[in-house]
Amino acid sequence: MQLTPLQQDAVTELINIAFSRAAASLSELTKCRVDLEVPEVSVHEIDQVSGAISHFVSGDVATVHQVFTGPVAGDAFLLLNFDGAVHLVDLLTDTASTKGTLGAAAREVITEVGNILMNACLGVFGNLLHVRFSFSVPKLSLDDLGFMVQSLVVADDALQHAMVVGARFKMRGSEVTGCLVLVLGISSFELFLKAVEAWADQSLAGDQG
Amino acid sequence: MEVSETFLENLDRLGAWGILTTDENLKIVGWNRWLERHSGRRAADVAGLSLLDVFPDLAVRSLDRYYQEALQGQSSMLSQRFHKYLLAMPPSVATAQLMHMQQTARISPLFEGTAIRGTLTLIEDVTERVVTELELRQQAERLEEANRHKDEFLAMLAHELRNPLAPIRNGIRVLDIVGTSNDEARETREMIERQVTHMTRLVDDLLDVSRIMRGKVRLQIAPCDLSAILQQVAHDYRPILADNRVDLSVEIPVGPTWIQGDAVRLTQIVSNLLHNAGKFTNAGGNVKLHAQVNHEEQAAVIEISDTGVGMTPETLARVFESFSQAETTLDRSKGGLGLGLALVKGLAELHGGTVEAASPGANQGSRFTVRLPIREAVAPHPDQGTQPSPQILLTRRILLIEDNQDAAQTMKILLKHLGYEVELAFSGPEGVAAACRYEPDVVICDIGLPGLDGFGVARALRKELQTRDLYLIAQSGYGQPEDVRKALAAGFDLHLLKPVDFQLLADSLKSSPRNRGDAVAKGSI
Repeated sequence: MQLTPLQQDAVTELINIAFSRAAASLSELTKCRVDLEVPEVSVHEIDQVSGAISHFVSGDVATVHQVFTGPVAGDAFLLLNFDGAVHLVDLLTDTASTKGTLGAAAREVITEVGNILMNACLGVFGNLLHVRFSFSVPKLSLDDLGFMVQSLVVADDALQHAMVVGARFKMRGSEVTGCLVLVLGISSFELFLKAVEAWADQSLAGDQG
Repeated sequence: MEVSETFLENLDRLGAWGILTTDENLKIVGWNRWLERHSGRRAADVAGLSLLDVFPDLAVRSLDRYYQEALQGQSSMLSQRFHKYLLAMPPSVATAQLMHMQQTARISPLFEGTAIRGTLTLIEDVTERVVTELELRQQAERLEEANRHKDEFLAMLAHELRNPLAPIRNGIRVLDIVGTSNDEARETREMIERQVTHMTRLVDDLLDVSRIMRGKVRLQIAPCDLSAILQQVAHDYRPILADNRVDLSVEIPVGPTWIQGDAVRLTQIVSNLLHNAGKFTNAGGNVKLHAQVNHEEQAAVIEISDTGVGMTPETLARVFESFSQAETTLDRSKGGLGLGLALVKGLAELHGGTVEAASPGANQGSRFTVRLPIREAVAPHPDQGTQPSPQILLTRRILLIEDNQDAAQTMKILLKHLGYEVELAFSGPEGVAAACRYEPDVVICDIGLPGLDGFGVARALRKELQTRDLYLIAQSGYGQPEDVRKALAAGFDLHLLKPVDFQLLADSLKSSPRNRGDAVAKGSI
């Protein structure tokens, strides 16, 4: 499945808005400038998402998962390579981890980072759709990417779509890339795309007016 | 909205969590016994009060926004690392380092059907974990500090051990000069020389390892012919190995192999590996030195294998660690400090290379493989590095300033045997005064001197009209480029490393330019 150029631009723009908010929150928390970039956005049927995700992460991954419910419901994930997660914690907390491990405190930091990013994205989408999402508390898991993707695919027999968003964190002269994955059922996804198109049309009309 | 007592009681049984509920106006509905215990306030006393009044700190620290977001449906995770704590309460673990209980918290909307009726907060007390982390960090810092002190101590120890070696080595030279017809005396002299050579090697290794550990080694990188270095080291070691009836076979590229490296340190790498191979190979065994250029890897690969005692997997795992010994039996018949291979690893890495060890097991031999990157290195021009022909110095009078009286006396004997007149001084100020009085041609000066160090002596002599043109030679236990630079900056003409190689000193005295005054005079004619 491919987004039309209009949908692609509009989704990218919305994600950029959300990432800017998340970056502002992280900068405030860390008292250090954090930039978040969106290198790529793509949409896939759930059983074909593996390739897109492996473009950003591979091997052992740290995954923050949040369920959102409401008129549009689904699952949101932030995926980071294990080493990337360790490095990101080091950058955000300005410390050096012990032998590249992800201890309890570091796992909490990654969970909070995922929470901030996903809340920002879903907040922007909620405003767009004029709906209110309800979020579950975020959970972190450490798994092999293949196992994690497999759990996504077999989680539900119903046709689902996954939006894969690259997420590049930049701070202290260094960067860590991971990806955000939003998994939506077919009806939620169609609703989402319609809202995106309406927002894009409205924005274009505003620009032309 | 009400949260039933039974519900909170059930949650209380879950363990060490604080549970707090509010209504949609952020008025406290209730909290559990855990919060009663830690906040010191009963649930009944705070019910109906505004959460932000009970904990005004929440608004001050902008944490109230998480509650506003929860009322909009968002769930938030607040990590201890970023926020330290959510609700200000006394620490649960007695510690002077923390004012508040350290917490990780989750704030969620509280639903009644699909409508949000308030907020639910879960608080985990992580103070114990944070205190443990703090203690571990402090312990790591202390260990790092202790390790640094150990490295500094080793450097100082090695430096101090060098000093007594100088007079002993001088003493051997004196015995050479005076000669002896007594076989026992001759054998004893040879024994002393062997042991001093061994001791010098140990001390030099110790000094080098401590320098590498402290990042103080700077390579003198220049194009060098690896084949020639290997050839020379093999040539030097063949008789040493042969003494122990160990055969050395050599396979190295014919013709030059140019790499960018420090020739002295590369020699040290190969010497240490050959020394190690010889040490652990019994009589009748074989040591093989093989080298080739791997064009794919862009690396020179040097392999030194032996048919010696080999290594167990446990030994193999620690073979490059400092003070690691293959043999730790009580008799320690192989001796050594276990520094040679640590030094090989450190020096190979400083060259951007690697070293690996392999052994099929005990008594099955060992193989060490060094890989050094081949960077574009151009053969030096034949003229490069050659010095202009020195003028012959007609030095007759030498002032030796040295506070170690044994070293001074033995050096004096040696210099006298070479035909020089020698005056001694044992401190800096005494040396400066002696230079004015004695009017030597050359001053040989230690750096660590009482009263005025060698740098000060050089500066003082360069200031005085009478002594400013003297030829000054520094001798020091510190031989890093920085030490040499400091010596030259202070006014020395030459820097020699202790224990001074007497032949080198003799050659320097013979071939160095005549004192500065003469050199200037000659240049002006």
